Amino acid sequence: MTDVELCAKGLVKRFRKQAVLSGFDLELESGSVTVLLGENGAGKTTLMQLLLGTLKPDEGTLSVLGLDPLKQTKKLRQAIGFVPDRPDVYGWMTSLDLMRFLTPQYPTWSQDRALALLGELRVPKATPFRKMSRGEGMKAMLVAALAPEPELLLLDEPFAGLDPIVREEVLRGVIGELRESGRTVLCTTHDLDIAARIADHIAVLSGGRCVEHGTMAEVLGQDEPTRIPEGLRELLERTVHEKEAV
Amino acid sequence: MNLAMTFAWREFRESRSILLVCAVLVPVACVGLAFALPREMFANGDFVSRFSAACVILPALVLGSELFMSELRGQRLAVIGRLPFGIGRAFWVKLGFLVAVCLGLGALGLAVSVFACAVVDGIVFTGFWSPLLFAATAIVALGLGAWTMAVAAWVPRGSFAIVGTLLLLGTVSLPYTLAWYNNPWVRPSLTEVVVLGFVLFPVLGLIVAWLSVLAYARGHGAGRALLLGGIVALFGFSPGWAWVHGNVQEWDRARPFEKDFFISNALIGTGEHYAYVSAYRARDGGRVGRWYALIVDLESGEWKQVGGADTCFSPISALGRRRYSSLECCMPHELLLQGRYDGKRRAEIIDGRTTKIIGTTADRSVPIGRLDAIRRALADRSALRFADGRPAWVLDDIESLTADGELRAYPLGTKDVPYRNLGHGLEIRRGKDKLYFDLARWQLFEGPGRKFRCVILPEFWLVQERRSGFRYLRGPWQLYDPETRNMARCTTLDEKDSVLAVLDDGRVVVQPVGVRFGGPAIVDLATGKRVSIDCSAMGDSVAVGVGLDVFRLQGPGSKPWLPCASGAQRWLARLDVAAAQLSAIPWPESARVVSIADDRVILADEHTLYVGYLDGREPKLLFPLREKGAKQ
Repeated sequence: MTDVELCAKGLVKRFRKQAVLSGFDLELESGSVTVLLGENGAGKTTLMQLLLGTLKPDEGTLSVLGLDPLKQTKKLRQAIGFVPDRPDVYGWMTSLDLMRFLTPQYPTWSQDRALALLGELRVPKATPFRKMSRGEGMKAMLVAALAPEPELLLLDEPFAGLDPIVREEVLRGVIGELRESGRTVLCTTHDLDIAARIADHIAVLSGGRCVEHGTMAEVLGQDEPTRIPEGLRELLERTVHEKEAV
Repeated sequence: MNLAMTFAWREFRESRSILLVCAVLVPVACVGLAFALPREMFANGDFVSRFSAACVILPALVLGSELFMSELRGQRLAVIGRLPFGIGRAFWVKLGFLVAVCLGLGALGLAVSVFACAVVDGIVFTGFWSPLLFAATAIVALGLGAWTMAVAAWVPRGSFAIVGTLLLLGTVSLPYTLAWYNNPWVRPSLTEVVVLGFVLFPVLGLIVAWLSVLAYARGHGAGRALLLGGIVALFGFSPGWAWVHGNVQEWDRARPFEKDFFISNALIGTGEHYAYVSAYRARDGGRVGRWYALIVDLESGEWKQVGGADTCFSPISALGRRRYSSLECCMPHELLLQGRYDGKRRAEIIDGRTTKIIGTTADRSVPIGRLDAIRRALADRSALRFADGRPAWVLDDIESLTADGELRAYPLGTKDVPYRNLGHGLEIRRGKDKLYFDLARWQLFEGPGRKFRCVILPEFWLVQERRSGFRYLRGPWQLYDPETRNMARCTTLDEKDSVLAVLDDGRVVVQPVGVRFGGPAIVDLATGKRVSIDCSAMGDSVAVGVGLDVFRLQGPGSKPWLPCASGAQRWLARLDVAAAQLSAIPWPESARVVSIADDRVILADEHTLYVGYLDGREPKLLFPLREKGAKQ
């Protein structure tokens, strides 16, 4: 029987009176790579914040790695690696400053691994973030997320806004890491190409709910009327066909 | 580096530019002010203490507003927010960093201001900078920084946080300021200052700042942060406001058992059933405080406060004509005024016999229809008497009854002239001049001269010249006729004799000046017979009447009261003329005579009202009696 690393049931989150998530259910199996697809404003980032315990759900239950994100925050965050959609650390920090700053936060932090990853991904070590390109910053953030060897990796649209070359570099880093570690990953994106390349499972977030969840084949092979938005479904099918053709 | 050090290092890097500006600004400002400010500020150390205090407060405000809000505005707090130790650890490190910066800049300010004092005016700073003061400064900086952080989370832009904090603190301290301004007698004790300033202010600031920042960081926005922080602040400050309100209220009620409660004056109403006590309470023994008017039932010991705070009793005008060196308390108080102690408001007229309010007055005049009752009361108790025993008294005019029982009055012309009894007459002062009213002649006379002391007898006056030049010289006693202004030597009195009292039978009580010249005696002026008075009740070496204003009690009488003293001890003694003997009641320095009867005296000291007895009984406390308490 496969362990469940993440279990969300009936999650509701409202900002003022507007519900961003309304009855969101999701279960992630241990070692799976799940891509959460959704349009802009669908609630992907809100879900990430709920998983990290920086937001409190209005309703529903949430368990991440068997922990309550609001009550066991420290333990949970030490077991999670998180990559935001843009490098949001202090502009004066260099990559090495960032690593030094994060070291005491994680008991499992490996400085050797961090330095190795920085070298592998060709991240400048002594350049402040404000002088780095977006791609370099994202790679540094990826290193910071992977250095403590997290059990769960959360990627919040890490490839958005990157030029194709850099995106490929970051993607290769992610894929290489996934192959080696076999850890559980939840990645939000609206890049279907990336979804097709890395995902074991696809989850589709629409209208504040998880409308589909399964392997790519399961999601696309359903005979009955699907709840995936029509445009997204067409794109997804086309991407899968192109991948198969290649 | 450990966690705290990494956070502190991050804070330093974030605030490096502000710190640099402050570090440069402090000496520059110090030099500028050193040349601009008046010299006297440097002499007493004011400049050093104020400048270093400003160096503590300024960074507390500036950094407090920036430490979180700059990160919130730059959306960089999200990084901290999602780390394992979250915002909590960062919050405390920020506060610690803030305090360290404040103290560091305070120390820098102290150093440069001391240096400026030495350089500019050559003044060596002799103040102190004790560890306690340092800790207090740190706590104030912590509190100020915490409140600024809280306000920074409430306002949309961090730059308003400083103004907002100052407004908030002004609003919070307004009740205290107003209460203490309007009630200067209410002052917080040291404990209260510590609790309010060094516990409530910083602790509440930390709680409110924590909740506000957390609410903001959790995505609830400034509105929710304000609501949450504001409610907590309101509840947090309420006990302090309630405390200051309670303190003010507490001073509205008379508390006779408190050590700082002092009896100012006590008036005994006609019939001696009630005492009208005017008292005040002032912190630390000062004179600035609240006044209270209390009515004490002398028979039951019960008392009640009337008229609220800042009220007192005074005799009504006609009865209260100023008697200099007199014992006006011994007057029968038919009517009293109850009103503001400063006399600026309308006063209520109280019947001294019944405690009932019978009217109001703005000019302190006697109400119509009450004069006869007052005259009767005065006639009963007046010490001023004719040789045949008929009483005379002073209302607005000098009044008496004729042998036929008719009222006659001698107008004094102006109101409120002070007077005192001089045997069978009065001494009246008009400015620097003295006038004398002779009862027997029923006429006002000028005296024999400014340097003469007079005693008015029915047929003549006794006068003695006293000069206080190179030596204090007493001339011989002389018999003086006020109508002809003739003088004749009085051979029966020695020039060292002081006349203490005039008796009904025409004799006088004398005391030689200086105990070595003999004790008190009763002298018959016609025969020269001198009878020594027995003072054994008070021990040896007792001076009777000397050095005290003996005439304040006396009209002519058969049993005059005489003040006596021996060293620091004082007595109020009554002379039994027939037995030529004095019996005495101890009269402490702090006690004032309130009322005199045949065998007892009511006295008021600073805190109590009590009665002393001539027959040797123990004094009896009249007020305040703890078991009686205040009558509701």
